[in-house]
Amino acid sequence: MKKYYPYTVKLSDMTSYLAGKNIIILLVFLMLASTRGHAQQFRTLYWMQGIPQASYGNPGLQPNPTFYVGLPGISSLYFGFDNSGFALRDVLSKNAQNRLFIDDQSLISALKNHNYTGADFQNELITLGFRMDQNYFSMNISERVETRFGYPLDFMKLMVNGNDYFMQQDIAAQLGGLGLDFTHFREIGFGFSRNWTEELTAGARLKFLQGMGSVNFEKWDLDLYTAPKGYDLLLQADLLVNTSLPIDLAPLEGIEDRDFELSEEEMRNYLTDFGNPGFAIDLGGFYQINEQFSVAASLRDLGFISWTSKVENFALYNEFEFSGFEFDSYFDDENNDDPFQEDMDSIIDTFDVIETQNAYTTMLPAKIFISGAYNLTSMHKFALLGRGEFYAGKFYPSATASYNFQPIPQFGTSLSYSVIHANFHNLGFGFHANFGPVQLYAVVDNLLGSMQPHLVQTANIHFGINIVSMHRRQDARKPSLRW
Amino acid sequence: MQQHLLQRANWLAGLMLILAVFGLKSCDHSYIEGLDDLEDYNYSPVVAIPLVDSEMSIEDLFDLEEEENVEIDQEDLIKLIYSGQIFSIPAKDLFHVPDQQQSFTETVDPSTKSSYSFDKVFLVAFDNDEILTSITFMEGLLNISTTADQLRDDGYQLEVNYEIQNFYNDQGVPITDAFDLDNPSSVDLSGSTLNFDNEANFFLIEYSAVITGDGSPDNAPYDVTFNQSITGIEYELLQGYIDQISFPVGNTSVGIGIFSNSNLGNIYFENPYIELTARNSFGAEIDLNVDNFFAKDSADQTIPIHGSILEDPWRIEGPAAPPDDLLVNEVTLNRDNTNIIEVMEGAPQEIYYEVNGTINPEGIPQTINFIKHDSDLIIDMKVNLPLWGRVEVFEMQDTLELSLDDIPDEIEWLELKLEMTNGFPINSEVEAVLINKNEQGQYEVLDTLFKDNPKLIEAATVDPITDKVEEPRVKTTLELLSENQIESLKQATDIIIIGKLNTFDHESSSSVKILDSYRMGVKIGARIKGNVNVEFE
Repeated sequence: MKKYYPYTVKLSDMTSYLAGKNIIILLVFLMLASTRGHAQQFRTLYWMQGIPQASYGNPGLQPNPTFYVGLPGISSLYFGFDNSGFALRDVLSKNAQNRLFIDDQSLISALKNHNYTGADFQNELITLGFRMDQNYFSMNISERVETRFGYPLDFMKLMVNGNDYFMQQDIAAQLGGLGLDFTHFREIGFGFSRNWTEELTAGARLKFLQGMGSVNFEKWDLDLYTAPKGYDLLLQADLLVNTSLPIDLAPLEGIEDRDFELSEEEMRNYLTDFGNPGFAIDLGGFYQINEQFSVAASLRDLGFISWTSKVENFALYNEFEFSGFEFDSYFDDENNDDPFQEDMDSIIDTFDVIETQNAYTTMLPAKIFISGAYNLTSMHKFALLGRGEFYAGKFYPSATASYNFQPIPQFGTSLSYSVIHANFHNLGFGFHANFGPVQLYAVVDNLLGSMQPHLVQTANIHFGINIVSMHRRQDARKPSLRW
Repeated sequence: MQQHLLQRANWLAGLMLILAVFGLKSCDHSYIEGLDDLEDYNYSPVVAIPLVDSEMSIEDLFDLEEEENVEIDQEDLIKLIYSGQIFSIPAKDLFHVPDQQQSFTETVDPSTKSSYSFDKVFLVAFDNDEILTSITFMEGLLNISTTADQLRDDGYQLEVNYEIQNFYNDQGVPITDAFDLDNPSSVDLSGSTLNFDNEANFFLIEYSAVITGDGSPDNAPYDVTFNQSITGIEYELLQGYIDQISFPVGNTSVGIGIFSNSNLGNIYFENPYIELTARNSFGAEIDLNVDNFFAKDSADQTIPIHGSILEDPWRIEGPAAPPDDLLVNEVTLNRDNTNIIEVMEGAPQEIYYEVNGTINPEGIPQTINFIKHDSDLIIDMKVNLPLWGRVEVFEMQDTLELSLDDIPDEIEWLELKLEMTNGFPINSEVEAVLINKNEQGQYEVLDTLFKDNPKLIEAATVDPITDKVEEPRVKTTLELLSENQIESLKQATDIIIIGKLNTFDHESSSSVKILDSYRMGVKIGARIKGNVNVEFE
């Protein structure tokens, strides 16, 4: 009797399957390099007022330098990676021989109902700030790129277990939230902060936004139900995807045959497109309760971008039920047609995508920060920070405890520990060192990314070089915070 | 000094704290390093998909429309009809009017008389005792000529005119013509009508002859010979008594398709019947004898069909008189007047019948018949099988070509789920035999599906009073196909579907009716477990 072995995919030979280690690399990339990337995290950085860019987390917290200017292009570089769903150790397990294997059920058990993975990047083109009496003025021009891929738990269950898993429980696979968001915009910000009283400092940052590119899954409601009785498939789809890109995607039919290479002029037009305006505001405040205790709160990225240039919309709203082919389809070949293909064509016709060009608006994912700090001495500061982010109607909280050590104004460091996406392996670190007027700084929220990469779900690095001045007028009021 | 010490202590405390925290976590790159030795990944989702969703009627199930004529009666009962037809030879071949030829001689003496008038009988002769009243000609020629050589030699001429009183041309005018010694008469009879009115099949030709010329009557009296004939007769209509004529109508056989795919079985029909329809366009009574009337089963065994109705000839009427030209006669052979129940229980594959006829079976000369040139006799036979009865272990099979070699290899098992919502009062056991035909045309059995669970279809319940279905019955069957069976599916070139049917409660000799409104819902879904081994090299 011939024995049939499970089908083996030799990855080195097959291009249709994800290739060997590349799967792992891809997963790592998804975990580390992909992120929901909605701007900087500001966990470790939040209380590092020696670094001017710390004020981006709370415009009410005035930086320690009385004046600063960023070196164009290198004053603030931020790369952030975030994966709310899983870490590498959730995908890989070790067997009795200590060999790694892909543990898909472990992956599923690690996921929440809604997960995202993404990446973001921010680079300051111009930044400067200065203190004037009780006021602190700042401005910045920053390039921001944010991407996010949302994947619901049911999507991964569907991929790993198949739809039989859902059918056995007589529930629908809820694939809502599956989708991609991409935003590329330019931020022109003007910040103002003032010491309103001895104890209270508060400020705001107004940000004018220039949208350049966007892919926005405005609606992605997708349910797949498999009926236990006859395995009928019911697919309910309510999808709306908006794009504003330098290329035209419509018509989708035949898109695979089109060339999307951009010319220099098209790229220039893309980078100078002012047809997608937006506005956002950051608000923040700080209150010194007594010498030891202080509190701070801020709201960041409360705003929107109105996309009107090069806009395309792709909408699909339908309910499709497939209960099987007619019996004749399997045998009837009188007309020499392919009855299966005819049936499949009719199914595809059901999903008729409506293509329009209507303007749309995307909201920036707003972040809220609430923090309390305890000054042990002027050098030692302990702080707790609660951070929450609103995205797609959902709230993603995280918490950070930090220890900030600043023995002299020219040098400071911070050590943080964060719980992010129920991941308890986020040890952050940051420092700044001023060499004369030249300030070097670097901040990461997860130093363990290099030490224990299998535990990482969030990683970012924020670094740059500023020109700063710590000079303070003798008659100036005490800074809001000194240590 | 004290402040300086305190400041140094703060420095040390901060650095110690930071180093201590980092010391809590040691480096662990085992997951990254372990990627080089990652175990193969076995991807094995289970996918459930619907395959078939059909509602099938009796026509779909048995493909009746291709082979049989299906009728639905007022009760919605399905009736299978198998038909045959025989045509008799046409009248022109069955009843032929031969060429007619007659001669007579008259004596003339021009020295005493130059004009003569005389009537002559033209007798139309037939083979039998026909007594006709008229003939309407479609074709025919009336030829009359005369010869009188001595009269001509002695210098005389003879001119003759004639008229036939009861013989009318197509204009309704009596036929007249003239001829002489050199120029005979020839009249086209197309469309002409000859009325006999004498019950002796003759007519009179009235001749008037004139002798002219300055001859010498040295050899008088002279004999003058007349030749009269009718040739090439094709009649359009022939009326009168055409005598008794026996003739073979024909023979044929009727295939009974429902039994052609059965291997064995016992089918009992409550009300089978055969309709014989005779369409007679002879204007005469005909006695039909159905001879050699039998059924033949798949083993070529014959089952004679007999019964009281077949003991005597079937007398059929003919149309009374033109313009009526057809009379339909019908007779039904059923369970009361024949052994048709017994015949059908033998699962005949064909019914053979041969018919002979006799025109004017009573042989009464006073009978007035008519025949047109295209009169004939058509005998239709319809074998009617209303689907009302019972089936016991009736096995049907069909062979279908398969081409499933593109089933993916990455399947560990496949589970079929069949849900049959049966509105028919028929149980069915089904086996599907997978076979492979090699290059020599030999078949090899690869596997059999549903072998352990063949009862896929349960009969709907039936009202014992009406014999009609009360409510459908649902039967769900799961059939797990192993990897080997899936491989057999891929290799199979053909699949033989063997169905063993029986009707609801046939053990109690209960009959059921198969109505056109019955449906069978067929839902087939499949759960498929994939098995893809991903190697990390």
